[in-house]
Amino acid sequence: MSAQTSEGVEPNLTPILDMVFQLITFFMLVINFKGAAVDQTLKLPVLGSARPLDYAGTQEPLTLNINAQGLVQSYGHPVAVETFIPHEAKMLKLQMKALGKPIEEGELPTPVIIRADKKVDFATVLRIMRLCQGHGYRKVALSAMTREAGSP
Amino acid sequence: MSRRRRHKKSSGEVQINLAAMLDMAFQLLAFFILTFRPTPIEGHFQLHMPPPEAKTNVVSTAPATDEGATPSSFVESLDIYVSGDSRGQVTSIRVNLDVVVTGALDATQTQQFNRYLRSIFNIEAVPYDRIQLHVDPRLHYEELMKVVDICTRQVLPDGSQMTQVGFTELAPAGTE
Repeated sequence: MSAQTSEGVEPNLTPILDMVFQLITFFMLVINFKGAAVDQTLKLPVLGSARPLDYAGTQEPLTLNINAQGLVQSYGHPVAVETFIPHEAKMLKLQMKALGKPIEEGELPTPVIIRADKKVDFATVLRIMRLCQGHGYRKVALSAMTREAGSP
Repeated sequence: MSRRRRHKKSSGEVQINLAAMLDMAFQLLAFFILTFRPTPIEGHFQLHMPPPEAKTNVVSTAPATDEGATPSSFVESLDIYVSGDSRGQVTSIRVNLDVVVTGALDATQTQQFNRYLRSIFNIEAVPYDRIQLHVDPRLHYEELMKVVDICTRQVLPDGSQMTQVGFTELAPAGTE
């Protein structure tokens, strides 16, 4: 015993390392890289029947956030939809052409997610939907919360 | 005997310094904790909008409205007219000529509207395969979503859900 103390006590770090690695695994599994596309300050309407978007096998959706003032944001940056949507559509068409994928009936395969604040008027939403429609985005998903934030 | 063996083994054992590994693991943990954002409990209503240039081989039988809306020219579309007030709330919903909802879109009115649409879409040879919503431009997104929710709940005779929904603007009541 006395010999041990003279050499200095070394704590066993293995359990703490185990626990830290388990925590890292947990956080790696639940990390949400799509969080950047979502403006979490928006107050979405609450509708229990809204379902998660299934876009497996399709392109990454284009997310447009519309705040209560009617301003549009994409990936945290305010955008002018009149130029942003045509630009995105043009880039996607070029990308598809380069990959040799056909565009059927002028319809782009990328879905557009519209996340609008519940106080946004229909005229604003329609203006954006028409722009999307006009540039080939015909798959539109309107976002809503499935339950009130903070409720169990 | 066994003790002796163990002792012999440990004397030749190489001890790895775990402190450096632990340091790195803690740094990784700190990164993940700081960048952690819980996923919002969010859902979507998936719609498939018609092409911008509608095919007009069949003209809709929807009535010309006194509210100034252009009658829909989509093939086999059920026209729903949603009127609102200046506060962005629903004041009435009309399906073709029938007034289905009057006043705010509360739970009872929502059920009534759903029942009405279901009665239309339950017909075996339903003549509609899409819905055209004519909406007051002042209507709030929240109210619009209630209407969209009911529309997308409808099931077509082939068992598929209604996703073909188009939107047009309705001239607000009292502006003419």
